[in-house]
Amino acid sequence: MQGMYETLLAALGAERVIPFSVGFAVLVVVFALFAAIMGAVVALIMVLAERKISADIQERIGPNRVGPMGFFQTVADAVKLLTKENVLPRKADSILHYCAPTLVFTGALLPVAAIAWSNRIVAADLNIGVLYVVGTASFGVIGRLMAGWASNNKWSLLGGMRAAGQMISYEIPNSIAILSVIVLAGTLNLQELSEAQMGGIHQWFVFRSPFAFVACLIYLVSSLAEVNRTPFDLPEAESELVSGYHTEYSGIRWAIFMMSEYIGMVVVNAVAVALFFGGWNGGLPGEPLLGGWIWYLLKIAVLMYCQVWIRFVLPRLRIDQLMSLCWKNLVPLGLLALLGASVQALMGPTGQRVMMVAAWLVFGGFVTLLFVAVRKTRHVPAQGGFSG
Amino acid sequence: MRAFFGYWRGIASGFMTTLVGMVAAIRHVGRKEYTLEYPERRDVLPPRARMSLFMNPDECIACAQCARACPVNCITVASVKRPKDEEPPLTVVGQRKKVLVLTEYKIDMGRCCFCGLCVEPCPTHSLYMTPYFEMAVVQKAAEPDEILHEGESFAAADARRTRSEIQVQHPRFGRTGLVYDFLAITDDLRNRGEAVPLNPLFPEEHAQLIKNRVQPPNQNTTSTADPPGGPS
Repeated sequence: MQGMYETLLAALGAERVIPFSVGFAVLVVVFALFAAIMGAVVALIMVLAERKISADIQERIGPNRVGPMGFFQTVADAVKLLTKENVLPRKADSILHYCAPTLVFTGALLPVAAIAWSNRIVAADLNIGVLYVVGTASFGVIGRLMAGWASNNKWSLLGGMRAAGQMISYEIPNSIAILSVIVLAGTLNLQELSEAQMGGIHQWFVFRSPFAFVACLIYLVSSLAEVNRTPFDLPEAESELVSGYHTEYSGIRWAIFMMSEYIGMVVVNAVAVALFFGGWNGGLPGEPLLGGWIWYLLKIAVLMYCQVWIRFVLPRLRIDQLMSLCWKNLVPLGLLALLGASVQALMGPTGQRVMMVAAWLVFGGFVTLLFVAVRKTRHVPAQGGFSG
Repeated sequence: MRAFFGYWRGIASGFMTTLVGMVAAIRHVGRKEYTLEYPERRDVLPPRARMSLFMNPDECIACAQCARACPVNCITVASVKRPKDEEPPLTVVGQRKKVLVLTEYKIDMGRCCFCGLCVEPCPTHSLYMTPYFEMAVVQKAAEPDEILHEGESFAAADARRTRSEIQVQHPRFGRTGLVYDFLAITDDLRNRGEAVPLNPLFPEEHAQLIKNRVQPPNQNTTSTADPPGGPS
C-alpha cells in the first residue's frame, strides 16, 4: 500500500534524515493539499469547458472577453469569488452554515485518494477501494442537508431535502451497477480492477459481458443523479428553488460547493473508467503508451464531455419521475444485470467467450440504434441576423 | 402481460429518445456560430432600415408638419419670414421654397419613439430615417437641469430648459448628446467635407436630382443660378 511513498522517500533520500513515519505523514499532507489544489484547478477548467462546450452545441461563441478566446474567464471568476463578501443570513445557524461547504468539499475530495491513476500512481491502494469510494462519495449528502437546514430558507431546505432523497435513492442502482462488475472481477481494489482489464480493448468489462454493458448504462445514468447534474439537478433547480441548498451562500463558500460538484463529476467518471472502460489501460495489449494516467484522464474527459452534452439535451425531471426512474426502472434492471453477471462469474472459459461475443452483439445493437438516431435527426440551420 | 411489455417499451422509448436527442444536439457541434461580436463586428443594416432620424435642411420648407405629427413632441421647428427681396431657393427635389426660412430644427432622440409618423407628412422628403442605429451616449444633456425630472411633464420641462444652450450632438457626426440640431450637424458635415446622407427611399432619384438640379416643368422661372446651399 505504501509503495509510492516508499519510492518517493527513497528517491528524495529522506529515510536517512527523518524516520519513515514522519516522512510518510508529511507526504500524505502534501498529497492531500495537492489534491485540493488540483480539485480547484479541475473546477476552473471544467467550468470553462462546460461553457465552451455548451456554446459549441448551441452555435454560440461562449466566454470571449477575458484573455485569448475567453480562456481566463474562470480565473477572473475565481478572483471575484475570493474577494466577494460572505453573507450569513440573519437567524441562520452560523456554525452549521460555515461547516456545510467544508463537509461537502471533503466528501467530494475523499474518494480521490483511492483512485488508481496508473499502475504506479495511487495515493491509497485500498483493498476495499470501491467500497471506500462509494461510501465517501455519499458523505456530501450530510453537508448538503446541513447547508439547506442552516440557511434558514425554505428553498434551501427543500433543496437539501431533495439532495438527500435523490442521492440516497440513486446510491442503490449505482452500487448495484458497480457490484455487477465486482462479481466479474472478484476484487474491490481499484488498482486490481484496472489490472484485470489489461490486454487490449476486448478485455474491458463493458466489452466482456453484456450485463456489464447494461450495468455501465445504469451507472452512467445514476452517476448523473449522484453529482446533481441535469436532468437530475433538482436539488439546485434554478427555476424552482432559486439555487437550492446553496441559495444563501456567496463568495468562496459558494465556490466550494461548485468545486465539489465538479470534483464529484471527476470522481464518478474515474470510477466508471476503472470499472467499465479499462482503467489506465490504453486499449492495446501490453503496457499503456505514455503512462497510464494520460489514458485515464483522457477517458475521464470523454465521459465528462458526455455529461455536459446530456445537460444540453434533456430537461429537468420532476421529482416523482426522478424517483420512479430510480426505483421502477434502474433498480430492477440493475438487479437483472447483477444476476446475469453473477451467473457469468460462475461460467468456465467457454462461457466467458460466449458472453464476450454477446457483449459485442449488444454493443453492435447500440451502434445500430445510434445510426437510427442519426437518420432520425436532421440539422436545421438557424435563421436570423442580416449577416447570418 | 400488457403491463409487462409496456414497461419494457417505456424503457426502450426512453433510451431511444435520449439517444435521438443527443445525436440531434451533437450535430450542431463545430458549426459556424451565429453570434455577432458586436463592438468589434457590426452588422451593416439594409439601406432602408428605419433607425435614427435625419433631416436635410436644404430640402426643408419649415412647414412643421413633422412637429405636429410627433406623438411625443420631440421635434422643435423654428422659422422666420424670408425677406421680400430675397429669391427663394429650390429644394433638391426641385420645389421652390416658400416664405419661411428655417432657423432651428432639433429632435430630442432621448424622447423619440421612432414611430416614423413625422416622416409621413413631410412634403419634400427632407426628414427620413437612416440605417444608423448607434445613438447611445454617455451624457444625455449638456446640463443636469436639462434632464426630465421625476413627475415632470414634457411641457414643464420644455419651459424650464434653456433650449438654445443645448449643444446638439450626433455621435456619428462627431458629437455627443441626444438632442440633434440638424442645422448644426449638416453645417459640421459640410465643414468637414462630408456628404449629407440622402433619403434612402430615393437614393437614385436624389443623386440624379442633385446632379442636374432639374426644375419642375410647370415652373416658368429662369433662375438656374440659385445658391445651392439654402439657408445657412
